[in-house]
Amino acid sequence: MLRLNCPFCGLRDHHEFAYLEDASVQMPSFEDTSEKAWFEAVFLRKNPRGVHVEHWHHIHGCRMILRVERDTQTHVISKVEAAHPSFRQRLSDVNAKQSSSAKPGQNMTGFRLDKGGLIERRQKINFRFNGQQVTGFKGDTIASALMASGHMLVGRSFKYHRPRGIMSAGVEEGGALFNTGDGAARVPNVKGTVTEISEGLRVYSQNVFPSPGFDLGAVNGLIAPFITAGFYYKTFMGPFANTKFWMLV
Amino acid sequence: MGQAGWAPAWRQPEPKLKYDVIIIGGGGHGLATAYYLAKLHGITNVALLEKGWIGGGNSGRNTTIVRSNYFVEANTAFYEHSLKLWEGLSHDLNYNVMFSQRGHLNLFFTPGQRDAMMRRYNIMRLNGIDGEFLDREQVQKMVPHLNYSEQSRLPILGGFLQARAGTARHDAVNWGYARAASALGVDIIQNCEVTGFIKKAGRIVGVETSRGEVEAEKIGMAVAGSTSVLAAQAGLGPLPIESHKLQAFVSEPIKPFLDTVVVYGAGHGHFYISQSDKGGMVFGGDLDGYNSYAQRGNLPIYTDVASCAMNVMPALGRIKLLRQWAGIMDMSMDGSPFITKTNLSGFYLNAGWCYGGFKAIPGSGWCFAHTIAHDQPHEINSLLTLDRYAQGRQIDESGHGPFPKSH
Repeated sequence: MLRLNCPFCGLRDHHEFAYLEDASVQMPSFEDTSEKAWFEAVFLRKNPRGVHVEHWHHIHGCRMILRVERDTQTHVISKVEAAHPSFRQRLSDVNAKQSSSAKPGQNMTGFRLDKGGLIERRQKINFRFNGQQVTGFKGDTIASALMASGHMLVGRSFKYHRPRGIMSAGVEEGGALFNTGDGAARVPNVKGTVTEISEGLRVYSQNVFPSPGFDLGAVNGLIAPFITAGFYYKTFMGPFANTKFWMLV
Repeated sequence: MGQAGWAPAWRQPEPKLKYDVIIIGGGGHGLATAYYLAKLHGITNVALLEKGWIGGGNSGRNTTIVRSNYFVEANTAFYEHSLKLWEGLSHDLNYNVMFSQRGHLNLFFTPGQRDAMMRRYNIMRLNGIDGEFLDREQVQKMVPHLNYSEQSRLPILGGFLQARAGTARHDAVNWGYARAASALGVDIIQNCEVTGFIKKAGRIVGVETSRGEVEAEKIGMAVAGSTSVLAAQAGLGPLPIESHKLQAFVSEPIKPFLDTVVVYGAGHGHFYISQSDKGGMVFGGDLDGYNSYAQRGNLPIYTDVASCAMNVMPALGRIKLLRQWAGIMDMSMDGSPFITKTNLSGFYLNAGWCYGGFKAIPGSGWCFAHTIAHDQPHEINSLLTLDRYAQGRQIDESGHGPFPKSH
């Protein structure tokens, strides 16, 4: 079993990653119209028996693309780093600051690792979640800051008001949806997993009254059998004289 | 009495200093090439150099399926030619290669798959290759113990059958070719690794081996899996090939259970299974998916292939796995092989067999022998060249584009 030490997530199993391609291939620039250059980049491979530089996608993790050095004969992995130079730089900056300042365990909370990731542990940021102060670090998303501070229940579903937590690490998030800002600046359906926190940011759970933990709207769940998915498409369509009761459910 | 008195089936000569032709690689392709050189082209002063023992590479690491259900121009004639050679092979070699035309049944689960395969099988029939469409009832009659449940993840709508396809015994193929080639004068030299090439005036005139230098007028290379490594030494430069490993599995032997080859592809699921004459269920699926020269596999594919098996053959659920193996595939940029001259005079290449080398053994050896003997390809392999990418004529059966791991 291959295991890759993701610089963002730590040591993870093969299952979480997808192999992409030979990372030693340099595509020509778009201005380069030479057929030979494009032919060689698209079709020819060194295919070494030995150390091979390749891209892997941490598709079931942080979604980052990693540059991996792996021996094709022994499968020994000698290096894993962020594929994009800007992320390599950012990671090394963050790690340098942490290793110089932090004592082991100093930055650890019940839900947060001591080091690693793309957050700046020396720079705290305060924001409000449903009026309550929460502290995160620079680089946190709303979702990561809430998880680190122990908030597991962050909202409710829009119809039955069923409890919703944080479910993903990316744009597909369906649980951690928030309102941010106040008054005219209020923005609905902000994805907590892709929105960075900022000082003084106001974040509100959706579909909750008065709070995510005790929500009066959850009473909808009691009549769920009568308001099944799509019931509104039929129920409110005329002519009502012919509507049979079973068509309503 | 009993099993006493068996003579070796082929000679074990010491390498001579010079031959007319050297074939590098003692798998099925190399052995078949040597055999046809001697038999059809009268070139008997041939050395076949093998690093380990003959048939110890991919020729012994496959699922022994033989078929010719191809539809792209360059492939149809080649694989059908190979299948025809298979049909007469046991007689030709006077050696039972246990070629069993038990049929190859390709299942489909959606109307889209059906239409794509209908096109393929129609083109096959236009090319004189046999192929039949079976609806769900006909498939059920042929293989009653597949998963025909309405609730199946992959509900079987029907299948396409190539009745002339089947399986063969991999060791017998290697041994049969070796014995027949040796009898015609070919020197089969095992434990003889090629470590370098001897060049004079820009021309390759021989090879350095672990058993000394050997010279030859012409040198052919049939070392699929390690092609890039040797080609780099020969000075061919980077090739349109990546080496990937493909695993396969065999179960404990069971009573007769499956008398055909069952195959399917569905999205990322890919599966093929047959039952060996010894009773083991022989099956496999996709590549591990990353470049590798290690002849061993990793665990995620075990799970993938086992779940593919359970989708269509739930009855296998309690069968125990007996063995597993992995071979190194030359995955080419379009999923099709090379049997070709190279830009080095007197140096010939047989490579890029992807998943499909076993069935190609007779045809490949036949075409490669012709290419070496006449210094030009036969019409059948004239399109299987290295320069086809630069010329914009990929032979891409699956339509995946220049991504070797996807073919």
